[in-house]
Amino acid sequence: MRFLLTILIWIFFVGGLWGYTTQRDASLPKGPAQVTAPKVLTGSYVLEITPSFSIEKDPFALALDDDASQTPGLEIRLNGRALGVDAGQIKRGKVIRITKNLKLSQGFNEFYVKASPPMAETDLDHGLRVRLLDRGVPVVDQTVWGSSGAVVAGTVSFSLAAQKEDVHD
Amino acid sequence: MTFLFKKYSLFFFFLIFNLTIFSTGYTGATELKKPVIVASTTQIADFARQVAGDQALVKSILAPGADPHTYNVTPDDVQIVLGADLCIENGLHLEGKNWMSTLAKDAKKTLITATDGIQALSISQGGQSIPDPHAWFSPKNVVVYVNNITRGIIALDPGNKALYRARAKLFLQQLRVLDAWIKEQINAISPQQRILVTTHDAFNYFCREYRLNEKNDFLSIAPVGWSTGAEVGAGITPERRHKVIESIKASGAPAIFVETTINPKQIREIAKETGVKIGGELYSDSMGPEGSAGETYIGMMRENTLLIVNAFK
Repeated sequence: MRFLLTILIWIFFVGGLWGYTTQRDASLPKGPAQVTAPKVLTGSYVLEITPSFSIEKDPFALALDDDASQTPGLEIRLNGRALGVDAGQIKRGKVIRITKNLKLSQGFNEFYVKASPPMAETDLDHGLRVRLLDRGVPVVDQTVWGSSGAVVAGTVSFSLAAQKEDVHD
Repeated sequence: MTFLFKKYSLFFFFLIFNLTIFSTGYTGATELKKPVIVASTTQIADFARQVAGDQALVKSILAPGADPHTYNVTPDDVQIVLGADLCIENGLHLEGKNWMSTLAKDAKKTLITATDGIQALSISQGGQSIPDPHAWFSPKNVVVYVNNITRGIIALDPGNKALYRARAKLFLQQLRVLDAWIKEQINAISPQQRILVTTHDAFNYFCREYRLNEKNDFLSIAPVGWSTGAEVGAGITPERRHKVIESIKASGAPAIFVETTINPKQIREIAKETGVKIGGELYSDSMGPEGSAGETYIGMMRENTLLIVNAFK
């Protein structure tokens, strides 16, 4: 009898604790809210990057075995995804045009650009001009700056409205 | 059987209760266990900390201010290495008589040599060519240190690869800024005035990178050789001492420097003999103690540069 009573008390406490924690956790959100994928715009966009310096391989870049980039010293991302750039040697003032994989979304967008100026130019400030053209018309035109030989890196944020041919009302 | 349960019901209750509690606690403890990384020197420990962050526990065998050339391992060091998941040494014989690789080998631990892949400067002494182990005095060489250390830590804990890569990238960009800043500071002094005389030959990479000691082929000038220990080409010789005194007299060096890890007796005697002032105490083979400006690599390089530049002015 005492044994059964002990088991019952044990079940009461453990079961009560289990019931409490289950009920508490049930009231928590199950996971991140479902986000609907943003609508990808299908215009004829061109991204233009113009450096005020010759881009060189960064001697201070992380160089693990899987870090080989197509254009050493240059990194461009659109909304977190890397845009492969195969522009060869990039001299000062050369315009890099990118059209491939330019999947812009309706609403908020963000470019991340990073380029390494020559190590011998530590006394200069450097800039990267970022332009986004829609059918030849600039919709974004910003310059990212770096000083005293530091890597030029920054984000260019902008919003795009639905294109006229995409609106059906 | 029922009798047994009846008699020991309270015992069984506590047994089940404790097993439940301990199993939960054990799972938590497993999750909290971090890999242990043991570095030979304070500089390497700092590089490893910059990459590992809170994902690992980094320990240094050498205490701040200790000399790696003449260090004698203790039973405590053996215990520390026995508890390590990864060991890192500088290499190039910085650790006198290879004490770090011996410790790691005896404990059967994975050892990384952080200078692997560095183009070491060669010092010609006593008819022998010796690689200079003080490679960290060029921030560009530290890139190689960080790459090797990052590879080793990722191999140890591949699940956190993205975190290690992100931290390493940040640290490397800090090194780039540091390098540009040192160039800017040193550039404020005319090349003829940049005479760096230190206690031992630890500053060859610094002199070569930032163009000091033009008349000595941009290598350091010191009465004591590349090591303070008893290795070939190390220690003080009358010839070296004479050369240093002649260099100071010929160049008109405004100051000479002592180092945090070495007895300053030699350099004080030379200062007295040549009539130049002591420019201050440079961090060389070890970083500064906790709470000092030189407790990190960047802090150590910054303070050394400011001390040197101010003495030259």
